Amino acid sequence: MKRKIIAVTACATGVAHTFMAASALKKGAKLMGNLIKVETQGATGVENELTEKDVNIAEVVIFAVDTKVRNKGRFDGKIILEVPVNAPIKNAEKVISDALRLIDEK
Amino acid sequence: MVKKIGSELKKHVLTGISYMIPLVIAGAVIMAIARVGGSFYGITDIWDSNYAENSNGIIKLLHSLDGFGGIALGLMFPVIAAFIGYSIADKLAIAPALVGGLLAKDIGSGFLGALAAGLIAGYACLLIKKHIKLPKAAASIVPVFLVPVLGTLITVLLINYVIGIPFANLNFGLENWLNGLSGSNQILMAAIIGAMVGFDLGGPVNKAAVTTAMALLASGIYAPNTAAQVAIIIPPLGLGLATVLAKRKYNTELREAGKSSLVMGLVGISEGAIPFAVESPLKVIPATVLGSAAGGALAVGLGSINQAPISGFYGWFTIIQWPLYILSILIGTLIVAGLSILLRGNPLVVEDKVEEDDFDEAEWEA
Repeated sequence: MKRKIIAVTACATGVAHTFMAASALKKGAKLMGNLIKVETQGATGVENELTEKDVNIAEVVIFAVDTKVRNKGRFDGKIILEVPVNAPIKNAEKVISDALRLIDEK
Repeated sequence: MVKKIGSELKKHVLTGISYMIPLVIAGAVIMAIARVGGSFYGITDIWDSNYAENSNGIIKLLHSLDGFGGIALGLMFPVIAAFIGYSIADKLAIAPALVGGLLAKDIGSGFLGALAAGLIAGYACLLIKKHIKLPKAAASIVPVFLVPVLGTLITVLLINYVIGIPFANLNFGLENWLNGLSGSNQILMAAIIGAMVGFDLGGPVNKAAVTTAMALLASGIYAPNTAAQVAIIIPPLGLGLATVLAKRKYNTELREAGKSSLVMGLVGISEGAIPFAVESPLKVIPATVLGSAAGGALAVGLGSINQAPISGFYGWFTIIQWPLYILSILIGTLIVAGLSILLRGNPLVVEDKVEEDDFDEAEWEA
């Protein structure tokens, strides 16, 4: 059974880290055999915006951010793991398993 | 606990910085255009009010442009304060923090004062919202009346009477000290800034150095910015160059990263170097620190001046002594490339390539 995860990435300048973290998370999820959707909140605005449906489907939310998450109210009631934007770039699989552990231990 | 507070604060400040950067870029570039334009007419003080009535229309325009750029730069203090406040307490803190930031600017407490204004306004508003509970019928008084009035009052009083004076002194002290630096001391300062920028490539140490350098632009102090902007682009260029010069030492993934690193370097983004720093930090960071420090020190030592917070090639036309500036970048780049190839032992194993763009919508919704 593939696990389902959503994530938001954002960094201060919004041109580099944001997208590197997003692609690291996608790669990591793929290697682990999980599904992930990633919204990027970069300098040009929000891309791949997560819909209400995505939020409902996902088991857990990852915020890989150095700045404030825009429109955070969407995720009320979800279990959220918040890490610096660097964390998935360094080790995405660890971030994803940390997030999954949050729900598994519940 | 302390660590958690630290990372909270860092997040708020970075949010503020992310909203401030476009203003600094716009303001500084417009000012630089005015000043470079003025230099074609042999004018070195285009901001002087005498030029407002100049008979030459272009000189008049350049004078006005300098003023417009100044408006944008001046807004950086209220705006960074406003968005630090926003990061802490959402919309509620924007008004009090704007006022606090402008006050901080006016009393000369500068960038630090503006940071403090944002933090004070944010936490004051948050506390008021959390702790003042009115009966339901009157609850709307809190956000529409109490928070704006009390929040602003707390912020301006603290900034003006408590924090303002020591911060203003600190600010003047820093500016005087930097202005007084000359010769080898100034070169040493440039080398330190360069090393900080090259150390964590877009991380907190880098941001601290770059933002301080940017904030000093508003006071007309350019050497730290020159060093920082040179240092920003050296690591991505140097590491990109290394993957071209020593192809066999890098796997496919890093060679790809090398190409995008070169492009990111040219447009002025340190982060292009991160894939390399993540893969083998101990072999990459010494090279980027040394290369950036050398580049920054050379650029300042050779007398080039970058008045804009822009490191990409599109900003080079506004630089005073640009050939020496580019020479400094080249030397720094070669140091990074040479050292990182040298430090890198022998090639590593081939990794499997993972495609990331074949997301299956049907499986997601199942």
